[in-house]
Amino acid sequence: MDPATVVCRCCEVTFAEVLSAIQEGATSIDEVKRRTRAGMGLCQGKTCGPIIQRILTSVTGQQASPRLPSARMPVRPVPLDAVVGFGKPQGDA
Amino acid sequence: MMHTDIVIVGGGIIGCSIAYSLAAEGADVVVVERGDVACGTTSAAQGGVFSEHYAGLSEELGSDIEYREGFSLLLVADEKDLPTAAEYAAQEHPKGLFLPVEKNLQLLDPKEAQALEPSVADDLAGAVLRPRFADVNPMAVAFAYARAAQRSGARLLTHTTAHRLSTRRRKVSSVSTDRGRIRCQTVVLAAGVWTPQLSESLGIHVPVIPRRGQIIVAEKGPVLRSLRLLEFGLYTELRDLGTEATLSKNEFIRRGIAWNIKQAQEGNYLIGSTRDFAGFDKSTSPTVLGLLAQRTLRFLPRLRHIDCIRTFAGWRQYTPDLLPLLGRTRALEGLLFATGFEGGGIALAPVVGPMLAHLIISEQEAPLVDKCSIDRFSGRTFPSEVKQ
Repeated sequence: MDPATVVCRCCEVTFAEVLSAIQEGATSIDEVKRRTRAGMGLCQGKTCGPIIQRILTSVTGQQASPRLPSARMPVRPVPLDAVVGFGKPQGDA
Repeated sequence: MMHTDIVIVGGGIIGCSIAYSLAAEGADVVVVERGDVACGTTSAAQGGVFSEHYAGLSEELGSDIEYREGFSLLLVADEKDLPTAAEYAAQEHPKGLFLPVEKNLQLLDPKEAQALEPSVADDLAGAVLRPRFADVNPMAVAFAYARAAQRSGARLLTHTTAHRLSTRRRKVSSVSTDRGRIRCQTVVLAAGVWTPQLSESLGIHVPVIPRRGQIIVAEKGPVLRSLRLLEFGLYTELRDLGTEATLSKNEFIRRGIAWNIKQAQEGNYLIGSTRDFAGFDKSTSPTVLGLLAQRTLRFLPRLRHIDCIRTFAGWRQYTPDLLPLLGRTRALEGLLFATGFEGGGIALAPVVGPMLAHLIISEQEAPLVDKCSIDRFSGRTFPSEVKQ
């Protein structure tokens, strides 16, 4: 892959940056994320996650990490004016 | 079996800063980190710092830590709080041990506030301007310290768990890890909320408990000119009330919420801040998040349609007196602590590094640090611990 290839489209993180993170010691998607910001954008790693895992596997020889990135709400983007309703009881009279 | 002078347990911002300072003085240092650098509380922090400590650090470490200088605004929602705000603006405020004094604050009327920060609501009562504020990316700082430490010869063992400390004749002698034993003269415990677990093996009780903070991450949106916007009157009070916060008359403090917002360098918003005691629970609470979103829209109505893309939580290290655990202990020679910063860790990292390095290398007394010795807790128990 060309080093300038963009791996994380949301944050414009390149293949070279991902490789650099792995060389510095990143061993999982989350560790690459903290070092490069890949996965911190709008899609929260839905697009780049699997690509980064493939890069990790091909560089380190390690199979898909059992440590999947932690899942946190929201599963999909939710506008702030809808988040306001998160805490409210359902079916309030 | 490895040999070194100093083992630092914990590869967060504090451990890496200490490693950098020690290695720069030529000391032989090994950092033991069970995950990756910055994977603990450092990665959940917001990143408010002081320019006195952070200006020039990017250049010194040779890595971009996303340092920015600017101002912050404390937004006053209610007219009835204006007299308090005026009084606050007129005073100087010590920010805590080892930190600068905040001064030259200014009370602004709603129009002045909006002139500085166009996105704020029209119906504010006013605002307090803090003319000096600085911000960084906490993880970037930790990585920068780690790299610079390694360039100076420090060894960094990540994905290596320290299980136990051993002693010989009441002096630290080695650290046992899942990848072998490390003989050393000195151990620094900078393992954040995991420090108590490590100290068990030594019979030293460490009164640090996790104090959870939750953050909403929202997508890039309108540019904020302030480095930080906060709701006036909540942050310090919530922090300082500790376990008593749940008894407050103020509805936000009672629920552990002191609203603030940071727009990161690349444009995402980080909305906090929360404080509650939930043991090692790292989940995010819909009720709390709902309140944070509500306060966000009260102060920044323009952000109504901005999407929340993630939430996360982290653990500050809470001590019963809100002072950190720093430096030596009479209980064991060669053991030092560097934790318990309760939300001040990022700001203090460039201070704590040189401080601990100096303590270790020069072996001099340091009165301010002595005040933070874990020995101050000998023989006492605290409500926060009993409650847990």
